[in-house]
Amino acid sequence: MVTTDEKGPLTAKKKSVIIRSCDGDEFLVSESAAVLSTSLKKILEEKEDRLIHLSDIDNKTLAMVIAYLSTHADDGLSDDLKRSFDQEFVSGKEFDVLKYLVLATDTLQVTCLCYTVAKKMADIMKNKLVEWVRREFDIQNDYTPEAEAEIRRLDAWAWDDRQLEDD
Amino acid sequence: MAYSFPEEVLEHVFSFLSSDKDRNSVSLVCKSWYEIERWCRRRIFVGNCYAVSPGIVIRRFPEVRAVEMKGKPHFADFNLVPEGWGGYVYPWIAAMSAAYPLLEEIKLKRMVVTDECLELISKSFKNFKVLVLSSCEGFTTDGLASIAANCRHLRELDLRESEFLRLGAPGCPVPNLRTLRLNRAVPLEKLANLIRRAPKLVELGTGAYSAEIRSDILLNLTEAFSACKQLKGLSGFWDVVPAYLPAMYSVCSGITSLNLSYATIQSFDLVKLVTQCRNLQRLWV
Repeated sequence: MVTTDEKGPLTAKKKSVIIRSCDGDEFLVSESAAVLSTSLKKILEEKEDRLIHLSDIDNKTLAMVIAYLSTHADDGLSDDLKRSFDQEFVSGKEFDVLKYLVLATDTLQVTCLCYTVAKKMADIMKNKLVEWVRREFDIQNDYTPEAEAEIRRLDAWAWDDRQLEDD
Repeated sequence: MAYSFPEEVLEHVFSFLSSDKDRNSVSLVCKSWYEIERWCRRRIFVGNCYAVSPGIVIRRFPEVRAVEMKGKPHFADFNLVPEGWGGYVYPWIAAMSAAYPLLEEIKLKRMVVTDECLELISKSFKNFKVLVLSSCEGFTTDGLASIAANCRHLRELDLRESEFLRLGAPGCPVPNLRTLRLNRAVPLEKLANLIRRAPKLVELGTGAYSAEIRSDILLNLTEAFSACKQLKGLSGFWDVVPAYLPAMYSVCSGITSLNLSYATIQSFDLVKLVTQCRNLQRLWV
């Protein structure tokens, strides 16, 4: 399957590359969009091949990253429009989706998007219980109950900015 | 799909969690998160300087840039804590001077801060930017002079409600100072010399705004204010002598925020002052 992110047929002048996700979907992307990813830029500089296979990014995540890159490569859009696109981009996305996105942006080295997604994840994590964080990140608690209780005790006693409010 | 989070991605996410509460939750998730979190915690708030030792803080958080700490209990404000009770910051400064060469901010409340502490601060942290001493005691202008002389990157010096002794007036410029808040004990005669040394001031809290009426003081103050081109916020104004208010008219057009909640000022003088501030956005009375 070849999906194009351009409207209408590609002009001969505009160079493009094909990016394949780990589950085999292929995306046709303009080179100007692809090079906004530092990793893709390096790959394109090193080899002639216009097909890049990404073994650890799934098609849904890849489609989102490509939509981001294409928008940011579009010279016709103002910086303001791009900024509001970025806000829209992360709003309303499930935590699970953001997790894959942040990993993909790290692999592809799309620094700005990586920060935007990391910030959105942190916003969702605010005021959440430890148990929620463990569940969402699928992390096994490897503390003994005694060790965990000890850290909780010290944290609450020594450094906890809720004490800031009393006076 | 199995995934594992690279350390630097987790650091990005953690960097947007600013409250201790959220950072504490993160470090309880598992042992590896505890390790990642402690190395990237940059700000620490210690609600009571005796709740934990400096050594424990430094071992757990080796890369701290900003420390906020409280000493004596709240009722010290009402003279209900005996002299010599404690709240000495020196052991903390001594430990941090060795461990945190990149420390930029110290905010202390109700602690005893000696001149020796201030001198150590001024010599230990090369990139020191913010010093807030609120309701602190034990230091003199000598200690403040070493801060002014050695901390070339100082942006904010706030002495709200701190008590200190005035000795000889130090004369070194503080070129990067953006915020200076004095307390009531600093007399108006000193204000001109203080603001002359800080040409980039954006926020100024005056001390007592009173002096016997003398034309040389007024002239000196007027000249000093007229050099403060970047001033945007004014506060302080204890015990206002209205004759001295015109000294700052030259900066009024740039003022966007005026806090007169500590000021003792007649409403007639207040109106005159506020009408000078044409671009005012916030006013506290």
